[in-house]
Amino acid sequence: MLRMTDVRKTYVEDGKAREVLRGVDATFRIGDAVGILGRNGTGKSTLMRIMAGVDKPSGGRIERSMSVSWPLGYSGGIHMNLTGADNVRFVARIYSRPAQWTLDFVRDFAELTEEEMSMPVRNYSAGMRARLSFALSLAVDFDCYLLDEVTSAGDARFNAKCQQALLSRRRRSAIILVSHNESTVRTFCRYCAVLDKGRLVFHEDMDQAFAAYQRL
Amino acid sequence: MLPRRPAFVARPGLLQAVQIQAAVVGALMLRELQSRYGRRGLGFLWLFLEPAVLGVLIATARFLRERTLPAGINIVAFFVIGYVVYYLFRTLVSRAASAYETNEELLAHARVTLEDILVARTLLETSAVMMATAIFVIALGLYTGDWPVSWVQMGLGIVMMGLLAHGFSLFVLSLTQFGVHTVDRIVHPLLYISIIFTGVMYMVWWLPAKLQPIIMVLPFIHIFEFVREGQFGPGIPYHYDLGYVALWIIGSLVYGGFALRRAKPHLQL
Repeated sequence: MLRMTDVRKTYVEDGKAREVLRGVDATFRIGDAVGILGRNGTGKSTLMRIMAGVDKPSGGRIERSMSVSWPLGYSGGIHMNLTGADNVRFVARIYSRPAQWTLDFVRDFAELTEEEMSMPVRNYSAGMRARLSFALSLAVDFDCYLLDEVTSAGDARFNAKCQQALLSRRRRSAIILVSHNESTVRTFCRYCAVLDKGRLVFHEDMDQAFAAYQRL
Repeated sequence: MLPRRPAFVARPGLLQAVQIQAAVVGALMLRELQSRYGRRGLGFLWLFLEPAVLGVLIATARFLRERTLPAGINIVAFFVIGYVVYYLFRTLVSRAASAYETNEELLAHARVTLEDILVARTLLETSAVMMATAIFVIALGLYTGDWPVSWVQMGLGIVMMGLLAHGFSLFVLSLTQFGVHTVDRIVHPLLYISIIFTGVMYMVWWLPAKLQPIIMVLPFIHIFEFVREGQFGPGIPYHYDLGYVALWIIGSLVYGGFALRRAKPHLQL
């Protein structure tokens, strides 16, 4: 379970306080598949980082009793100057996963060649980076996946593979997806929340959520 | 198939917490090794060749100018070891400001913190400097027949320098909330001139009596004198106060630790 109670985040820029999150309440459980909609600059990334435990909220409480992935985006959690393989080894080490098994899994799933794996990630295409990052998070096997438009970065075939992998673990994982893409959200998510003015509003009904999002 | 060791532990016990911490710091040390020194060519060798080469250059320059040191101290031994120990402080502190920038992507993993990055660097550089020192001491011993009086004392001195540098690094990193480049512009010149007042180039008893207490306000020369006592042994007057050094180390670690904690929310913009 991942529970947020009155989570607030304030940034100070040039001496002025900017409230990004003003009291977010939410509970996510294993088996949940939630889409989060929000315009650019409404604090979606901030919310993801707080859920992942990368940033601390300025106020409120956050409780985690499941493992939460790093925010998966185009290159989330991947160091550009390291090779693909070294990135895999790094992540395997910090989450206590066997290195060789993780390497094999990532290479197979991300469909990267041995040669590509020994290249610095800086030389990867955006698609290859997204594949590496996504495959790596599957290898760690989290209880909760935070996805930031990840399925749009690869080619169509890889996207289908990602969707398959995510759908197949819906029973034992929670999936929280930030997206602008209506069809992606409809494929993965059972319900939706709209982030607006620093608060998260949940909608049981998908059409209602999209209508609310369009009105913003 | 999939190992079912949890990627997350809700309330880790002490042992588990220590294991996780050790895994993270270990992974970061390897990452620092890989990205700083690469895996090809001389690779990891650079880690201790760099301080070694710089130390030899300074010693050679002095040697060629035919300057002798008081009390018949071996000129190469004096400058090489002094410089290598100073290098530990300079490297750690000068690179502290970049800890966030150069690891931003890795900080996306909640388990990886800025403190871990600094700990990994301190451990790595301290062991590198120990290795470089040992290699030089052995080389000098074989060449001149003079062996250090106490290896342990030299090692302890290097550890003290590492800890002191760690405290300063925490503080420098916390200052980057005011801008990494501003900090670099202040810290780098300070480090350059620090070679004058940290005591790399001289010993306390070479100085006029009036200057001695002033130079001893800073903890650095205490550490150099302590290391040199381990290196050259009795027969030369040494000036150091380990209690005073300990006070500086604890003070800088505690103050730096709190400063970084307070600065953190402002670093991530």
